[in-house]
Amino acid sequence: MFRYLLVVGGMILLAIGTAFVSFDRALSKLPDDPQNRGTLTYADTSGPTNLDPNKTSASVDFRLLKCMYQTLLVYQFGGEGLEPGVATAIPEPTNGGRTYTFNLREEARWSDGEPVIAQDFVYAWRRALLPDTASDYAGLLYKIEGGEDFHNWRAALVNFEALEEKIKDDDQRAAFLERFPELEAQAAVDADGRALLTPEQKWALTEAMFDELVGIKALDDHTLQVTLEVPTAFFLELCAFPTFSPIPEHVVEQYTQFVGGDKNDATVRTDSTYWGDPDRVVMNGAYTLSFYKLKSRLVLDQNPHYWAKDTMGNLRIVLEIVEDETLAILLFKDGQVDWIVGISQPELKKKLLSSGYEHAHSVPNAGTYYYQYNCRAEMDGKPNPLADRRVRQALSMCINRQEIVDNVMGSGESVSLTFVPADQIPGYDSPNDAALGYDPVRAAELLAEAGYPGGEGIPKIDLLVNATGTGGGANVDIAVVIKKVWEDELGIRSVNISQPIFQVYLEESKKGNFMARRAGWFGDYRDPTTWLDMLQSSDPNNDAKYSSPAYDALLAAAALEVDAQKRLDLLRDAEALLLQEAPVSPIYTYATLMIYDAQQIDLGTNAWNNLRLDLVRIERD
Amino acid sequence: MLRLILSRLLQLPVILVIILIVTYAMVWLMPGDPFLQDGAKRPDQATIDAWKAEYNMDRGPVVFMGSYLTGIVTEFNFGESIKMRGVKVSDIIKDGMPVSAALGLAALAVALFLGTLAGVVGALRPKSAWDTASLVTTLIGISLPNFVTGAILLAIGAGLTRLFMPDASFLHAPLGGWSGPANMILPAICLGLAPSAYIARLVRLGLADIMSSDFVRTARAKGLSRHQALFKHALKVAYLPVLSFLGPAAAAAMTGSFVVEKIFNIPGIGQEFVSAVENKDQSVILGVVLVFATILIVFNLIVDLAYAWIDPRIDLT
Repeated sequence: MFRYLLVVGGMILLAIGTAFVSFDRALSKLPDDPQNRGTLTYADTSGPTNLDPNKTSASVDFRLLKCMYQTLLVYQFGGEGLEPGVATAIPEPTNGGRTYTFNLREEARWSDGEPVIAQDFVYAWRRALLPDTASDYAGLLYKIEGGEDFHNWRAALVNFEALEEKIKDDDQRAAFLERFPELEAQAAVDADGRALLTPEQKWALTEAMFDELVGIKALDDHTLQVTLEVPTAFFLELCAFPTFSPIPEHVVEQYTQFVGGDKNDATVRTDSTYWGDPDRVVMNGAYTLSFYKLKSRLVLDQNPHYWAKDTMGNLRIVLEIVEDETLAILLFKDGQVDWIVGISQPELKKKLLSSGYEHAHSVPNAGTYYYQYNCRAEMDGKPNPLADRRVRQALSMCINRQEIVDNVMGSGESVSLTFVPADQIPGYDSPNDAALGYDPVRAAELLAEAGYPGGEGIPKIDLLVNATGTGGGANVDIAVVIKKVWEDELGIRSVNISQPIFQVYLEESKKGNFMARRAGWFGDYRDPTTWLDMLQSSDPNNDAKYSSPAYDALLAAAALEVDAQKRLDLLRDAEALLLQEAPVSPIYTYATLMIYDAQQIDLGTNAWNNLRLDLVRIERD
Repeated sequence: MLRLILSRLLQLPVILVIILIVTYAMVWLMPGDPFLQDGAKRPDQATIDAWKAEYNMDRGPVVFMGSYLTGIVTEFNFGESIKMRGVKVSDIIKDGMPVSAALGLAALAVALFLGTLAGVVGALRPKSAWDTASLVTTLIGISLPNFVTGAILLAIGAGLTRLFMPDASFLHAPLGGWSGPANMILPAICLGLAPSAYIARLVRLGLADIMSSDFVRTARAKGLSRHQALFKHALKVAYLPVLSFLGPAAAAAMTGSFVVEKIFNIPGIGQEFVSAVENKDQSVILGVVLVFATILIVFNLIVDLAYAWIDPRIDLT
């Protein structure tokens, strides 16, 4: 018996001992806080996926990165417009709208006290452009003169074979090599596949090429000049986008080296663990990263060197990572969190809204939930009926969006008939007249015109949705509603809903293994191209292989158009064409259900999720 | 005994390598691409290839596995997570494993205490109200899934106490998280209930059998009371099946429970493994499987040694 008690007692002691090692560190005391600005605590279902500002694309990361790094320009509280960040003012373009000259604040500092200089921006933007970095959003920097050429040139220099992947068109590739006649020799390898030039030699060539080719120049420590390929109406918006954050060259360079290894690999890579390490990472935003425990908690504390720290509404931001949304609500009710960034479970959303919970706030998003139709002429060696636009139009016109919004979602989403969410882009007039509304009678006629009267002859339609991940179970509920109308209203014999796990859904989407699929897109910046570009013939996101020379031509013309309003009109025409061709069926505009006490905090919510958490004040009772 | 320990420990790396290879083969055959993500415009294929190169996944499964094993042996490097860039798998294990282990140990202590108590009561007073109560309790313990018991415990311990006794904050169980010993109580009970039910049944059945055996009768004839015979002689023997159950149970409890960790928002390794499988985050899967397998093998060895410690008649050699 004694041995038994010894075992149980030992286990309890061991458990408590182990637990003490693993308990989250208690929050340290706030510094002197005479204004009682305190702590803003928010709950999210996941922690950051990547805190490298030049590399990531996840909204959960962006929310944090906007607090940790300050871009040239930032969004005003409420997200309506831009205001100066590290730049002293919003510059007027020169050189026919192609050149912007930013003057940088002399008082801007990194968290280690060093000044933020123009070269830090040059270094960061170059890093985002380097193929070595594999930035999710390198393409945004292609707006800058020479950006895309530099990216492709460097990719070929490190691995010449990559050029075929980067520039698929043979003529364009030949023209590119003509512009860089020495490239092939510089990238050459010997019989064993080892590069003839050392990584250091290739890097020296790269730095020289960047300076020669790319329109990003540090004129002096506090002047940054950026020249664009063509005038780009939304470039200033990009200057507030986290990919365009500066990074401290004097620190990051210490953690950056050549991959080396076999074949003398010249790829340059930064130690990926640096970005989330509170002891090493250096930032220039309102906050610094002071604590991060995986799956548990992340703490940002006021950056003592932040130039505008007197304007801050709070001194600390705590992210509590709470995977279970019900538990998050309990924590909110218990006063342990001030804000839940979003409730995603449809049933919970409905329950909160239908019960009239006073702290549930539905915030419309600049994002569209839509269905996409495969436009390939053939699938599995058989003719694809959805290649006929009349079939796609019929499918689209049969979707009762109001029913989906009211009965399936019911948490603040609104019907969307356009691909670009209406009224979200200043000056952009949505082509509602070209939209395909709910008209099952006309849909049946269109199907008959396409040669499938009463749905006869249409093969089984495979509808791909994800049951896990983004949208989760609601995707399946919507698919069931749509399957029913397609079968009942159009007479389509069989609609098969395929609902793999998220990663499989993404892979099948990429391969184009679907006839129809659910999709969604939140805009990155306030311009229609953030949606419309995805359906260009050559775009890597064009999974359905929609290809319309007219559509491509309109987008190309818009890209070259200097006059802002004419450009938006061209984009409107492109969207009108898109809606008529129906490679996509917009269904609804997203809404996020946030939980917070409006009496306590004003978050300055907006459709584009451009939050200024540093300015949020907490009025505690 | 020493030879047994040495031979088991020498077998360990071989078994682990086999487990890793089999696991990786399954991961490799799984559909899905971990480098694809929703909510971001897809970069070109060359960029995706560059990501793959970062993770040593651009030259086929054999090269990956070779470099992965080499990394473990030479640098104790388990690679990096794909879904959480810049996070080393060793850090995920280092952060999550102590949490799950502490919770698992606490749950096992709960299970041993409750299970033994219920089993002994049932054996001492068969067919009494106590016995019936313990049988019903164990049946509920086995039948109810963790997410139900977890929700009930949370509702009672954290919800009702706040509702009816708002001023008695010492009674308010934490709503989740992992910041102090109080955070362990509810999840440990939740995780310990099911194994306690098994232990209760094993103890009760074992004792019922042993209490009528010759050596206990002899002990009673020598003047020992029923209680003395039970605690001095019978319980030790009745505990042997509990021990064999305890090995895998301890490994299971210590490697985390996805459900309990999610309900109580505990940053353990159980949640991590499930999300890694969903995301096909292969380095995380391999790292966690390696740790799980090690724990399972080591615990089985400990159980075998405990067998010999408790019952000297058992010869492990």
